[in-house]
Amino acid sequence: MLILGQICLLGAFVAAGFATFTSWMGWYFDHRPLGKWAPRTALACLLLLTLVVLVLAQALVTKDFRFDYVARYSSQLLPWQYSLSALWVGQSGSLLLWAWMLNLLVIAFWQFPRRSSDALRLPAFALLMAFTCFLLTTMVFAANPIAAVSVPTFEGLGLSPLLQHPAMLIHPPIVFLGYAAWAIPCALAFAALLTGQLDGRWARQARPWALFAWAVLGSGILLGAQWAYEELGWGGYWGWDPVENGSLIPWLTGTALLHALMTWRHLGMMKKMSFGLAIGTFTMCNFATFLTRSGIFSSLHAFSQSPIGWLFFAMMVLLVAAGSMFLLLRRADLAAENSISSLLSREAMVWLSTVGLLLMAMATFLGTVCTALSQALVGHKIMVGPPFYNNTLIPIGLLILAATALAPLLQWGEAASITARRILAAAAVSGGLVAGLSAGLGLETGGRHVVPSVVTGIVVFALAVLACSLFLDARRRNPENGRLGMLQCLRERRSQYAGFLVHLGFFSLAFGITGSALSARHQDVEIEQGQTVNWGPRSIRLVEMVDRQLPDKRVAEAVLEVSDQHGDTFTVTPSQHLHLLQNLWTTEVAIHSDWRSDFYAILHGSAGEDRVRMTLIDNPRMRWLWLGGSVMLLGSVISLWPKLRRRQKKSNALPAPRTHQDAIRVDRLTKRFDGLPVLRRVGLRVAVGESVAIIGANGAGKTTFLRCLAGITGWDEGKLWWHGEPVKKRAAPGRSELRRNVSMIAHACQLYPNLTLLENLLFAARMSGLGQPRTQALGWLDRMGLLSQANWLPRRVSHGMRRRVSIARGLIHQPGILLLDEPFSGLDKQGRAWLTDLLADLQRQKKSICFTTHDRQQADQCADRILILLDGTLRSAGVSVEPARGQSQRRSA
Amino acid sequence: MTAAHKICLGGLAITMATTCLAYMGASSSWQFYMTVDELLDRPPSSRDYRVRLSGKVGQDSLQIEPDRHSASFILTGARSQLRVECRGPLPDNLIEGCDVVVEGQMESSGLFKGDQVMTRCASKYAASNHR
Repeated sequence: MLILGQICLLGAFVAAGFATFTSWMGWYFDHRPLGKWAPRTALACLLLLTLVVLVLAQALVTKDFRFDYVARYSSQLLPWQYSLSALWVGQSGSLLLWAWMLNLLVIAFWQFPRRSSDALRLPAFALLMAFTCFLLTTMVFAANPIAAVSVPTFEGLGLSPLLQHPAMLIHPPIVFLGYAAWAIPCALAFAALLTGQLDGRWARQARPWALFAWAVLGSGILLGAQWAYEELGWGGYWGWDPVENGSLIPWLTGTALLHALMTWRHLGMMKKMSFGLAIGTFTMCNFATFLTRSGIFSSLHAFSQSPIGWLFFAMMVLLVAAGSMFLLLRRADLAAENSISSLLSREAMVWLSTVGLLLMAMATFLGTVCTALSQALVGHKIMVGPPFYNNTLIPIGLLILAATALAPLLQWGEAASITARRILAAAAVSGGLVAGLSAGLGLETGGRHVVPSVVTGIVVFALAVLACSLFLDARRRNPENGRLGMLQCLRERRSQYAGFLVHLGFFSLAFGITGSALSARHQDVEIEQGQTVNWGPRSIRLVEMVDRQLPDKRVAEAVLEVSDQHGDTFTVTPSQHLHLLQNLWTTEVAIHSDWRSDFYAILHGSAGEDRVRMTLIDNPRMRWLWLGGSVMLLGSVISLWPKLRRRQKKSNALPAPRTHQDAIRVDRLTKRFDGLPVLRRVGLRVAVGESVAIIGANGAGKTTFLRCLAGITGWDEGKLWWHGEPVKKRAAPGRSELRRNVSMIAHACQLYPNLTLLENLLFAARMSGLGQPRTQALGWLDRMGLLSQANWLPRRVSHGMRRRVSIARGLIHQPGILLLDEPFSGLDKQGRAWLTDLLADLQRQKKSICFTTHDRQQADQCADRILILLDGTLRSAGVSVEPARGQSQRRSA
Repeated sequence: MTAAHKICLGGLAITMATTCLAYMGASSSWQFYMTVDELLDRPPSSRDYRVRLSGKVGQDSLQIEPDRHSASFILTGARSQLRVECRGPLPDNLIEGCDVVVEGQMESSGLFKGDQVMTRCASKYAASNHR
């Protein structure tokens, strides 16, 4: 098995190198066959790595001490599940795990989603395989997990009992998975910078991976904190140790990245910031690896100096240098498309939160590297303690909380409405009252610290804002049925409300952290059997001391009966275990948890006959901390969950255009207003795929004629056919298959003023019965170059932009016949050029177009034929038209 | 002044405030981090400074009180050693030969008085020739 493992490791190294080479060459030289080899070799690499993992896992479980790794980290008596967890305890094993997970994600990235841009996929893939190759290089040449033991042995060194905890089975793999996942947004960012595809496509692809990495890393951090709380027995869960900080920093910068990507998507802002954060977050993952393996940072984790740590430092330098260089080169293409519209806007709050998160990351980073920096600068190692972190992070955290609380009622790109401001003011008053009562009456904290009360107030404020936002949204959706409206909101804006759920979890997390970190109470006591000790609102009685002998350990327990001022009573049993093999004592704390606080008891040992010494800790709000983390994870899962594809009852496109030669045929159409003829026996034929322009003076009847052709206005005499089907004389309401094939785009844009641009298109899509209306609407906005303004109201955009949206609205259901009334009116030169191209494109798609215009030059450019409407009749330039006699139209000169 | 300018000014103010708070937090909580050899070779200028001292518990030197609330031992470095007395909760895995970190102050008598002792975590990222 040893030989097999070594061969597979070497094979994986070669395969990773080949995959890197072929993907680079395939992209750089645009060589498709070579590019196709890349994912195949990456898959081969994954299979070989999986074999290596299985070989090592099997060796650990079967206690095969021929493996050096097994001899170091396992022992005969170690339970099999903890033997397996030893896979990621050592340096080489953790590198193997990281490489395997990264390779797995790379394959997933290649496969999903299929609609991802090919232009970015291959270069990003090449970068990811390059990093996999880097990890395999370190393993093959510096930290081989499949090395043979130098001196044969029949027993290993074993695993510390402290690590024999369920959380240790999953915490390290989850953290490594998070680190590996952050490589993907970084690779996409570099791919975009390399290829010059800076239009935001990379951001759309990167976002789900960034959210996945963020959720996974956050879960890993929380699991580690829970392990520390339950297992290490000091009453806390976070010690600001460099290793802990190392995982926190990329999580903070990753949070900032998610919000920056959102701002780019909505407003085309924070482009450079997004790139910088994508690269920076992965750099910080490498920093986390560097500081656990370099040995130069003071930490309670036992490391010696290893050259591998410096390899990761070199990787960090490379990422920062390359990222900075590309950003500098591309800075002109990354100018923001908009600026912050108002202090009370969503982008302003995102900006503030991003600054806050970066400051938190910077402070944590400086606190972590303080020792190494101080030694370099002043010759002494100096380190900072929890007061540094608390002083810095708590005020920033409060700021971020407040900004997050405001978000649901604010809009992108515009100031908060009057209604929103009133609601915010009312919610702020409620929150302030609650905070004041909480602090004044010492409800939560006994008056010891005001920050928990402030957080309570902010949480109340946030809940009120969120509830009002949901209520308003629901009422807008469905004024008659609020409950249905709410369901519609949650379904159609799932991503947004999943984000608000994550925010709710964040509030709960902050509620828990501030309570436990700032208001915890400790008490050392000596207590005799049968004695009762009063501590604050609680009475603690030592009922009995119990000594038990188990096969592998001796257990000394203290049974405590605890009662509080409300009369509730519970029993906890802190204990000490003597592990016979290692001759080592471990403390097993006892925790009783409720929503108010955790009662935490640590048994230290005997203080005389029937007398014990213990530490009692009261940790307020701990449950809210764990709940908050779980809710944040749930919100992320909901956001990432793929949308269910409903059975398509509605088609995305209308039936194929009819093959009748004439799309429109008009015969002796006459229209009168109050007896006065506006249209006199007008005739027209428009062939399929033909474009006809109608020019005429103001009041000639152009609009009336178009409205008759659209079936919107009835006529007095004559006949009309669409693709050979007769149309009723009187304007008939309701929809029909035929009517859906005709679209009239009026002279006035006529967008709904209280609906956003996106909502205007959504309305049209739904009215037309299209399937996947949102996808259709977003696609058209993208085509019109208005994706960044999707959530803007019409009054905020220019006339030209409104014209585009009104055209998109008329085209969204892909009609075969297009009637446009003065489409060039109000457009500048650029707008006219754009519309000309669009009409040409539509004609290529065999759409039949009839448009009115004053501009003869524009008509010449866009139309196959030009007709003049004069005195109620249609004439071609210089020739009158008699379509009823079947005469062919002469093209205009 | 546009909203963007106001936001920038606000961000600057927040950064400056954070820097002040960070300085205040650092100045109230900083301590030297030294090995036994470093402490004896270049002790801090003032004995009032707190030190985080790392070393290994010397063989046959560990004495732990039955209540596990105080202990004394010899803390060894590469070349030197130092007598340490600790009062406070002791970690479970405090044994002779293990790596520890002790926080406290050096006394004029040459004794290091610690109020917190921590053992290094059991996870190992040791160099390949380390046992």
